[in-house]
Amino acid sequence: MLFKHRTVQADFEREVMPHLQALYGVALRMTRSEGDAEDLVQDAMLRAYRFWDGFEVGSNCRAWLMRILTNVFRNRYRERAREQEILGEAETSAANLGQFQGAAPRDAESALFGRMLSRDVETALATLPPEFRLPVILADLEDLSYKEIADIMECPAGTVMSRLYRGRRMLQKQLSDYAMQASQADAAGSAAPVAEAADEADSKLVDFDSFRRKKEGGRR
Amino acid sequence: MTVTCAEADTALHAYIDGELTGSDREAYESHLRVCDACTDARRFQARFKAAIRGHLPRPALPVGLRSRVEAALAAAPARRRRFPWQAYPRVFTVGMAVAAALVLMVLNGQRPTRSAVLEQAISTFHHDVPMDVLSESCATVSDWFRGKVDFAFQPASARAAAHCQGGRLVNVRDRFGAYVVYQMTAGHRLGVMVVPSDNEPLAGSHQRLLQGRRAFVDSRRGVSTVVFREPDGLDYVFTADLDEDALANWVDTVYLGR
Repeated sequence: MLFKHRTVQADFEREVMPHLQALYGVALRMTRSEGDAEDLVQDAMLRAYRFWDGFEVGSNCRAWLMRILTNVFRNRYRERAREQEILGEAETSAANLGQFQGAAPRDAESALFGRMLSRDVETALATLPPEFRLPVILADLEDLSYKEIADIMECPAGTVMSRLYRGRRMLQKQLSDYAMQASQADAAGSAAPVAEAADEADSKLVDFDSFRRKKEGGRR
Repeated sequence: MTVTCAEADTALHAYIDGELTGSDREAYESHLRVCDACTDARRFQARFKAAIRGHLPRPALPVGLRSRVEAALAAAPARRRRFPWQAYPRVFTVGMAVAAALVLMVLNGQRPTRSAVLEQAISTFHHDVPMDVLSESCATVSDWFRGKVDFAFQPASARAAAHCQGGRLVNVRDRFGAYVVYQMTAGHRLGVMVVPSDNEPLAGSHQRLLQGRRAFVDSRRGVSTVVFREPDGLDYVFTADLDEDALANWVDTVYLGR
C-alpha cells in the first residue's frame, strides 16, 4: 500500500510540480496578497491530488490545474468576489471606457509603449474586476486557448472573447492615462491624448458569430 | 466576399490570440491586405499583448512554498493507481484517427503561406520545450551543437548581457537548426533560432536596419520577433517576451553590435 501511494504521489508530483510557479503567479495576481496566494496554491494542489484520477494524461496539465485553482478561488473568495462584482459593474460601465477602438495615433502609441513600466502594468491589471482580469491573465500571460479558458471560467467561448476584449481595453485606457500623466509631469507635455477614438465601441459587443454568418452569406 | 472594418474588428482579438483559423483567418487577412486602418489596429493589439506579457513575467516562487506543498501532499490520504485506459481515454479511442490525420497532412504537403522558420521559432518559444543541453556556459552549449548542425554556431557570449541557459536541436521541415535560450535581465526570456535558409520570404509587420541587415520586426501571440537572413545563408530568428522595439534595439546594439 505504502509503495503504491509513493508511486502515485511521485507520478503526480512529476506531472504537476513544474507548474507550481505558474499557479502561484495566477494566484498572486488574482488574490493580490502573497499569503492568500500561497494558501490558495496549497489548497489547489491538495484538491488536484484528490482528483488526480480525473486528469487525462497528455492533455494540458497546466490548464487542468488552473481550473482547480479557479474553483478554489471562487469558493473561498465568494463573499469578497460578490463585493467586487458590484464594484466591477461600476468600473465597467460604458461611460468609463472608450479608448483604443483599434490603434492609437502613432505618437500617442510610442508614448504609451515608451513609458510603460512593469509596476504600472501590474497596478493597472490589479484594478480590473476579477471576471475581466482572469481571462487577460490566462490568455496573455499563460497563453491558454479560448476553449481552455472557457472550461476554467465555466462560460461559453464567446464570453471569453468579449471579456478579453473589454479587459484589454480597460488596461489600455488605464495605461494610456498613466502615460499621459507621466508626460504632463514632464512639463514638456506634448504627448497627444491617446484616445480620440470612438465611444460607440462600447455599445458594440464582440459579435464574432455575425462575422462568420456574414462571411458565409457572402460566399453563397 | 468582403469583410467590413467593423467585422474585421470583431475578429481582431481572436486573430492575435491565434484562435482564428481556416476561412475565417483567410477572410480577415485578405481584409488586412486592403485596409491600412485595420492593419494598424492588428499591429497595435499584437504589440500590446506582447508588451503586457513582457512587463509581467511570472513572479518567483516564495521560499518554502514548494516544500510546504510537498509536505501537505505526503500527509494526504493515499491515491489509487490508475489503469492506462483511465489515464489516457482519448488516446485509446482516437489514437488511430490522429495517426490517419497525420499521414494525410504529410501527404498533402505544406502550404508555404507563412514563414515556417518564424512559426517554428514562435511555437518553440511558447511551449518552453525541454532543452537537449542545459548549461549556463555559452561555450558548452556551442560545443554541444558541433557535428549536429551543418554550420558553425557561436551563441553570443556573456558580453551580450544575457546568460545562456541551454540549447536544443530544432527542425524546420527538412532542415536542422540550433535553438538557444537566454535569460535576460529582469527575468525576461530570449530564444535565438538559427536555421539554414531555404530562401522562403521572411515576414514581419515592419522592417528595420540592424547593423546593415534588413530585419523584420513583429509581435504575435504575445511574443516579439526579429528575423533576418545573413549572407552566409542562415536565418536568425529572435523571440522574446519583451516589447518589439526593446528586442530590436537589443539585437542591434548588444547582439550584433559587439
